[in-house]
Amino acid sequence: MAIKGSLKEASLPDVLQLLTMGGKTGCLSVTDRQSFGYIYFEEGRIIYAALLNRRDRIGDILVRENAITREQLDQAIETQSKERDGRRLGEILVGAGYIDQAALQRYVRHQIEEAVYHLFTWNQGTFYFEPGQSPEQEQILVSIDPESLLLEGARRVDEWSQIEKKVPSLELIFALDPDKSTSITSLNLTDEQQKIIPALDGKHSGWDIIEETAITEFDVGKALYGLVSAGLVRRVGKRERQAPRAEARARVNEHRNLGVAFYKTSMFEEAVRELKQVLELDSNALDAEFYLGLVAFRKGDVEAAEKKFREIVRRGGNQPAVYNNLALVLGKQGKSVEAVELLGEALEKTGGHPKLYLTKADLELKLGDPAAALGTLVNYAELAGKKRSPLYYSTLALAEAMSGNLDVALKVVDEGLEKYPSSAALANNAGVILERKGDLGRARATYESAFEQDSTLPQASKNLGDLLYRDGQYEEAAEAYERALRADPSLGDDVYAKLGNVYYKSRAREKAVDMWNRALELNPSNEVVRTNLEFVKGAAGNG
Amino acid sequence: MAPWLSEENVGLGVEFEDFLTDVSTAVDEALGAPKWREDLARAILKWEAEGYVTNRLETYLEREGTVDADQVVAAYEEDVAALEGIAKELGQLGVRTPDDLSLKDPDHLDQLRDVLANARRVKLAVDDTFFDSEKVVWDWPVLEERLIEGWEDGNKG
Repeated sequence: MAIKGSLKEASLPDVLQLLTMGGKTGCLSVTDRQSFGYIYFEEGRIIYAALLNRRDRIGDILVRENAITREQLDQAIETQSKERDGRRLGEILVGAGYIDQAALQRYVRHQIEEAVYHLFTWNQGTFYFEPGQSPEQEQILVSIDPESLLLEGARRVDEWSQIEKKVPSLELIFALDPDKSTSITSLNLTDEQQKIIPALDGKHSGWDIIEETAITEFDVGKALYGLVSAGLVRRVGKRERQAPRAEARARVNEHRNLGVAFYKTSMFEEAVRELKQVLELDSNALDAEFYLGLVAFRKGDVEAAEKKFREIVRRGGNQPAVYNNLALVLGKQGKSVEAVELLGEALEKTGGHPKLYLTKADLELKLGDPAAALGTLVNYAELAGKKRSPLYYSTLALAEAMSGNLDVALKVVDEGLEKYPSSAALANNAGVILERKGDLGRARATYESAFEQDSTLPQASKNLGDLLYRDGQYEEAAEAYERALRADPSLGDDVYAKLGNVYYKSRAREKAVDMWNRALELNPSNEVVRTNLEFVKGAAGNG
Repeated sequence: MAPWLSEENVGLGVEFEDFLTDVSTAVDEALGAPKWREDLARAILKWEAEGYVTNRLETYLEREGTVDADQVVAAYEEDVAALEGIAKELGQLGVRTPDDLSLKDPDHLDQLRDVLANARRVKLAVDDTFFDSEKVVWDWPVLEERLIEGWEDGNKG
């Protein structure tokens, strides 16, 4: 389960220590609401870190450190632009023999450490840890003990708070004091200060200097701090955000990247803000509309999501993603027949996508057509290969079970659970098939396993309750039913009806009547409950 | 306006010419009016003659301002085609349409789709234990397995 929090409540070093001690694997996203950074963990160690919207400067760093020449870098960049398999720059440099793997690893490690140190300086914003996530395949990975970064990180945080007093923003433009520019060369300057002096011309902002010199933010800030403190350099203005075409494009990309990153970490308000910025700069950005549709869907506003996805289709966005998600939205609103028709159309237009087949099969099954679902799932399996999701196993098993093939269905869920033992929903549905087959012992064990995996899955608690109820263990059954209703108060009338029965048996008449009334609210045609209520009313009248 | 093929009309043996006169009276004001009104009026005439309920189109005809008649008629005709498909399949399944729904009314399309879905379920003798959403997880909770969240994911080329 994902872990979320505010950096005000738990500082980044605290979070890092927690993940280290827990030996966690996954992605920690950190945002100060304007910028975004990622730290990937594997068994409690940092394996990768990056800041969003920052140019990958490993090449520049290698040139600066004289590890490679500028010509070698240019050549590698050219090779990279010609290749289609997306090799990382570092890999190309190693392949060409310009640098050895060990040296490259050292520099990458340095870059990753710098990214983490930078994130330490954010003292407000939020973090979000999603377990099981791993970096893109082409990233060069390292293995760093997070604790080894804490001391240096703390030192940088202290220093940065000092630096901010003189250099409050890297948007600021600095210039050498003309009266002192001649004497500056005789001073004992640091390497970084010497490197940035040519850029202190009253035109370059802090960010421009970072871009040009490939020196880290921290080191540029520190160099400027020293120069400003000594009175050699002064602030002359702030970078104006002009909008020439290239810059506008870059800004669109920045906002888009941020919007998608915020969406992925469920920070929907921030995602909407960034995506709307994209649309202000480029009203034809259908991908921004698409993510706005996804945000609406995730927030449960299916009507707004439907409107967005339909609009994208109308404007020519014939992506499998749009059709799939529109079909899901329609299905959520009970328009399953229309959704199936839409997916049929989408499969013809787009050439297919495994999820289009899976969504179609799921809807066909809901429409009571397991034969059609089974046919569609064959296509899914072909396209998905070995990457078949838990939902596939559940849909396939239910289709077989609904067709009366309970043994086949059980084989399917066994295979699925072997592959995905932590899928609570799949385990629950496997339990239902076992229960239907009459194997109540295994059904109970399977429901218990589903509950262990996800204690908030209402059906698992309801099903456990049913078996306990059947077994006469009323107190335990009531606990399970209450748990199911806490997870989903509108789960259905049966759970309220049975809970009412249990309460009645334990002489809690008022509570029983309350539960039965709720069952009737959800299903006015539940005659058993109606009879119970009439009986209780009659008994009360006679008493 | 009575549907052309309503039992009442058929029983009385109303001639096609007479019918057209009736319908024309209702829409003749629209003919000779702006093009979108004319287009709508022609569509109403056509589909009324086929026995379809045209309330939806008539509502548009009564509107002030301009209506995209092409779009309105195209959507209506799409629904008529869907109704024809449903009528055919319900016929094959031997299922009667409920009294309050009409296979000639595009505004009943959603309800008729449900009727068809139920009819298919019954016909296929599906074990409906599995439709109990209190027991079975139908609304799959792991959205990542259902949504496609990458704009470019699966694009051709």
